Amino acid sequence: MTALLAIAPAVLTGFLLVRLTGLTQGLRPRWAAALCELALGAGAGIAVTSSLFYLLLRAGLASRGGVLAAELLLVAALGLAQRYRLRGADTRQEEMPGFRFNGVLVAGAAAALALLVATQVSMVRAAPHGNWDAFAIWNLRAKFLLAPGELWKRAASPLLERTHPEYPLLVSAFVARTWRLSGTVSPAAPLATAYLFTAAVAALLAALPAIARGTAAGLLAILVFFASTSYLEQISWQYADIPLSFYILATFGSLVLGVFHTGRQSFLACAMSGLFAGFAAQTKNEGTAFLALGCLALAAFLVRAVGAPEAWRRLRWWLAGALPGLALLVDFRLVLAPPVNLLRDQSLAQILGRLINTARLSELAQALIAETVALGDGWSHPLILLGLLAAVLRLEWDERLGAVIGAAGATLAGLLAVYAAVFLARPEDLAWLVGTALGRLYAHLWPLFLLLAFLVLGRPVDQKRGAPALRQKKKAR
Amino acid sequence: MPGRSPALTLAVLAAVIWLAFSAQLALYEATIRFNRDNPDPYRISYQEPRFREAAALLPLEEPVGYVSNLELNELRGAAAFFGAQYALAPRILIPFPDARAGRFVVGNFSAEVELSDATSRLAREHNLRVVRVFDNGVVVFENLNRP
Repeated sequence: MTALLAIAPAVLTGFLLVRLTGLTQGLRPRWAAALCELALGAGAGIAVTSSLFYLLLRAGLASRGGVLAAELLLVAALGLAQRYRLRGADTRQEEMPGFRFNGVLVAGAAAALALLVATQVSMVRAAPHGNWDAFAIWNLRAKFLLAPGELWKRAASPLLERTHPEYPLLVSAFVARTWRLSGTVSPAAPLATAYLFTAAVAALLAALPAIARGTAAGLLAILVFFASTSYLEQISWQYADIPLSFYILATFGSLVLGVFHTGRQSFLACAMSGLFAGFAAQTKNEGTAFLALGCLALAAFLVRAVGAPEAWRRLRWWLAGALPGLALLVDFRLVLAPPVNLLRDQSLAQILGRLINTARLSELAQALIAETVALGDGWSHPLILLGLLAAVLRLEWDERLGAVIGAAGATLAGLLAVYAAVFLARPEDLAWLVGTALGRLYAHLWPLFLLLAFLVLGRPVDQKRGAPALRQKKKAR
Repeated sequence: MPGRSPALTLAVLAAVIWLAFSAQLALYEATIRFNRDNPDPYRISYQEPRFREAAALLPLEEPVGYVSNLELNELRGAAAFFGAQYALAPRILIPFPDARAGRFVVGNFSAEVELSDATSRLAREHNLRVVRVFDNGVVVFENLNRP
């Protein structure tokens, strides 16, 4: 209970930050706008308070009182700043067509959610400390961050050879900060963190398609998410993969929200997107690859969509948003962390040799197919569900979302290519590498993939009310 | 509707609801079965109380050596090491022998070994002195290799 109380200031901080941007101002449906605000706020708040804790550690001020005072000060400042938030919003959301069976979709989603909760209760009771990497890496490093004096730096000690001291600290620092505030090192803090991130992912997956395509699209997205058993199995593991998947989703989710604004919010959406990309880089090493690829893809698609001068204007906001996370990551890398040695000091010839080794390529292709099959369970596989929906709803292209969808798709494809190249180039046994990591790497990409799917899928609408197809509206516009 | 016939669309939506629910049902059943057979598979919950008394003897400032009858490159041995490391953090455990280890070495022994035999053999082999033998297979040694 104290852990939950200690998490509250983090969520409040993020909520006030997101509210300040007016990102969801004036968007409909209201429930979806509120859900976006809460979900983005929760993720932002976790990252901001984690970063604050890291800075306090660096300054030698991370006592319980110091952390509490700094966070309360931040909440107060953000509360006061609400006076200046953008209240009016020029939106360009169209009238959403109705669908009278939304209630049935809600009931189906609620039933699946109830089962998911029961599953998670069982998981938590059986293994409250999570899975292997939780006690060997993420929560272990959180314990090191609680050490007195300068000993907290041991979280990045090269002596922790089996604990990846070079991994970024966002999740571990948040858990440590919550333990410090609650005054107890209990599994409740990492568990609550894991469930908060999952709830935020689920909320964004329901709310973003609802805002972009209507309530029915959001409800279908959450149903397909509930069929994604490989992803859902990882919630109680307490790893940093689900948090990373949230920041990847939030990066492009913010841009989706920005599309429906014509005023200042559209630029603030770019800043929030960059902020989340920076947080992704602070969460896992893969987040740095995401940040670089996301930036490049966004630049390319923005230039194509709005021309170079306007693209540069938006990209500046994005880069400004990414800066805090990036600065903290650079500080961690330069001051504390041992060097990342992903490719284990191999020569260029050795790396190239592995990259074009046909046996390894074939083994990796088989593993990718196997992992794709393992994303779900038999006929309930989420890709089968998406296929069924595509067969009846067809695809609807919304030109306004084109640049975001393009950039997100290119980033996902690029990340998959980077992951594949790293698997191929590393000297370890490929079967072991893919067996231990591929499912988690898929999890990074899956929520954003689902969002993209529901941004291009058609939506169910009532025939009687007969709202014209979106494509026709776009032509008229 | 922009897509197929309304009846077909509704049938597909009903199928999606059912399939999403059945995915959760399958996950629920598999989880319950797994957890019944493997509660806390790495026994992490047991490690903090197990190492609590030993932790009081071990300094925070210097790395602590780690010895065990279980091999670190096997699953059980690695789980035992990380269980001990998690319980004893923020002390850093280093598999022993290692010149970087500090004044103390902690022993983590499974139930199937005869503890007194194992401790005396290890003490002899690695130039250690037994400081204290705790219940549940935990032993604290002094590292006599230090100058």
